Amino acid sequence: MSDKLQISNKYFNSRLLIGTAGYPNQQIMLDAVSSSGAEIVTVSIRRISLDAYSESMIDLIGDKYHLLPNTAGCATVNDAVLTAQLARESLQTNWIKLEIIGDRETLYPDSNQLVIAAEELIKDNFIVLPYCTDDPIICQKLQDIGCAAVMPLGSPIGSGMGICNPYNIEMICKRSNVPVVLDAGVGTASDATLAMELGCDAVLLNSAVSKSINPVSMAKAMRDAVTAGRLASLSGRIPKRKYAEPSSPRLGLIGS
Amino acid sequence: MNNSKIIVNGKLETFTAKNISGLLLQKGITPDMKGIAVAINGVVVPRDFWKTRNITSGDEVEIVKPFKGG
Repeated sequence: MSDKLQISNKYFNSRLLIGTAGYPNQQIMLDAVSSSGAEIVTVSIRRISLDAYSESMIDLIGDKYHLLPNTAGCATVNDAVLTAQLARESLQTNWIKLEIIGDRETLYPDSNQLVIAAEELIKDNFIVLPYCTDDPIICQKLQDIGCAAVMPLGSPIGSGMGICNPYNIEMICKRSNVPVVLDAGVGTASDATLAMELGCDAVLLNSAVSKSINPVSMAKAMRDAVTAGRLASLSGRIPKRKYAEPSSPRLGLIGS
Repeated sequence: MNNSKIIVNGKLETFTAKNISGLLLQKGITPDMKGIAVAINGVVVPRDFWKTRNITSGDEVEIVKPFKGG
């Protein structure tokens, strides 16, 4: 069965998107990304060090994966738009994971600025994947202005708290005409599975893998978790009941 | 600002390079290195214009590349 993830005009076999930050070392990062099966890999855009050489992410992974640059850390529309434009020049891609944080402590998205920046970037021919709150109205607005996907958080970035409001995530998925990518908050494999069971089209995670004790095996766990959740979602869970329902036949029981 | 100064990645410095390519070389960055992007005064300067976009006093230059990220 072909069950590819479509974002804009591109198709992907994997429904797991993975980040490249926070691994114990470069080799573990490369092995974990490989083990995850992800095809879309996120990177940041930062000022180059003018004092010391550092290896380019493009040389490390650029030819193997679809690199998705982010605007992580940007707190204003201007900074996010310029970072996206620099990313486009740097990586020759018009795809951007749009992040505008409203607060350094919570790293919550600033929804007002996010919508303004997304509109500006869409006019500039970007494929915009916005990191947003789990608010169905904001997700609807982002979709309406032309974002290629919406990426609501499960819980705060790096918190590992999983999906704090599964009802909102499910509602967003049911109402959305563009892919929903759960972005942020995943702590372990069951969180990724739950996201998919709730109807998400994909999961984007980083810290849950990079900061685990064994990132390479956790990456594989996430790969399988996303696959399992997707299959369960497509297959349809049974309804929850208040009382037991025997699975073995009632008829023919000895002593009856 | 002093008329021979520019800001490069947030640091004030005296400049001698004529254009972007020259500035990158002075910083030890070969202009054909993959992934480098440059903006001056908030506007991205495409690679094709690095030899023709002159550096002028007061310019604010950003030189970036991809790093690890989530």
